[in-house]
Amino acid sequence: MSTRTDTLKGAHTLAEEIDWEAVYKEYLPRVYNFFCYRVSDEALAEDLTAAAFEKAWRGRGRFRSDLSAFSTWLFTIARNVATDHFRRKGPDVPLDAVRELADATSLEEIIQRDQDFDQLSSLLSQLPVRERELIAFKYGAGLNNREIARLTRLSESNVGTILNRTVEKLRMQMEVNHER
Amino acid sequence: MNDEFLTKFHKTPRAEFVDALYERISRRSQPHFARTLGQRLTLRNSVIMMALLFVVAACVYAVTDRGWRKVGGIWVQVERTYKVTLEPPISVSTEELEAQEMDCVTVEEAKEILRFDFHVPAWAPEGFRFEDKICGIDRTSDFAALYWAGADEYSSIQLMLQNLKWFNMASQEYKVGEPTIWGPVAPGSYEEVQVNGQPAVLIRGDWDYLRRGFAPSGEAPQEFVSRWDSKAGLQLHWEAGDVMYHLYAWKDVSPEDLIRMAESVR
Repeated sequence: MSTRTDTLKGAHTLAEEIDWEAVYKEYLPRVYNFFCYRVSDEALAEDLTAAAFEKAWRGRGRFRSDLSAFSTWLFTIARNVATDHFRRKGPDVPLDAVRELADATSLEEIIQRDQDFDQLSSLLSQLPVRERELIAFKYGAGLNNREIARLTRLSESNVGTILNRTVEKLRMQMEVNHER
Repeated sequence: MNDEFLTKFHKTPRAEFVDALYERISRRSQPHFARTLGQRLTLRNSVIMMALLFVVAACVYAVTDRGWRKVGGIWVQVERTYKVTLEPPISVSTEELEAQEMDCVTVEEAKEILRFDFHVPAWAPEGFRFEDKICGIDRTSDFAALYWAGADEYSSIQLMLQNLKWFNMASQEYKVGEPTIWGPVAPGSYEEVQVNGQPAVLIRGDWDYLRRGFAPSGEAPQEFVSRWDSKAGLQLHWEAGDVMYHLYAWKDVSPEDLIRMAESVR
């Protein structure tokens, strides 16, 4: 990847002093997982990740490090990409997965069938948009509550409260499903 | 907070996807033409580019500047070439030449002959003297040519006068009733100027058939495609009342002097 890296390195000096190769390596998995948690579809998550990075690359000249951290800027773009996607498609609710989850008899079986994420995503898909977005930021992108607060314009404590409540709700539902 | 069940589902993006996306972004990072242009737009390059644009614009103008143009209210026919017929020389005997000389008249006599009133320029560039001997006078078409001799036979000024009323009735080629320059001129050779606040047209050069002279003696007239010679003198055309004035200076006269001479016609 040396040639491609050189190209990126050469280009970034034109805009901002950002090491785009490092940015790509560090943030691509985080953005990708943000979308996986957000849309529950790996292929779609790839498309949205690509869209987010391409937008970020095109708009790199507009990034101002004095106004926001790079992660905030990048995930703002990712968030807008997701919003655009849902505006066009409407919320994705994998009903088949919900039915499958309802039929499941135990949490262990779910894990053993290696469909954990699909089943979790079916629960995530039933969450309100804001809660699901916070979960995606926290557990997909690996952002801390302060960074999420900046992105969502909620207070840090509010983010913490919502996340706690949502995680607890998900955990209880997982257990309920497991008990069935 | 027991959230282990949420964190353990992290996925690693497919390597193919990672590489393909990187490839796509890398390709887009190639310098865009506009950006490249922007970086190279130094002062020196800007000057060169402006010069090139000027040349290209001049070429485009020269190619497209054809047909009738109205310059300061005066019609000008613009052509790239001018097809003329060169006649063989006519042998004139000494007697005939003397007879023509006798036909020359003074300005006062010309005013009696011609059917329009005209004025002679009161000023001429230094080195040129007015010869009050109008030999080029045509009673039929109401035309006269006044002559200022310079240092040599090629350094002279001629003022052609034409009764426009008569001329327009006789010729259907020009825009009747509207100021029109005789014959075509070349693209880019003309410009609008002012003579006593009135519009006039200054023309730089003339067709080169004038240098070709005549067709070979004893032969039939020859068709000749004449080209514009931008160094073949200066011309100034303006109209006042029913009179057309056309000044022609072969050499040694600047545009400013030619205009000054025209403005001394009062």
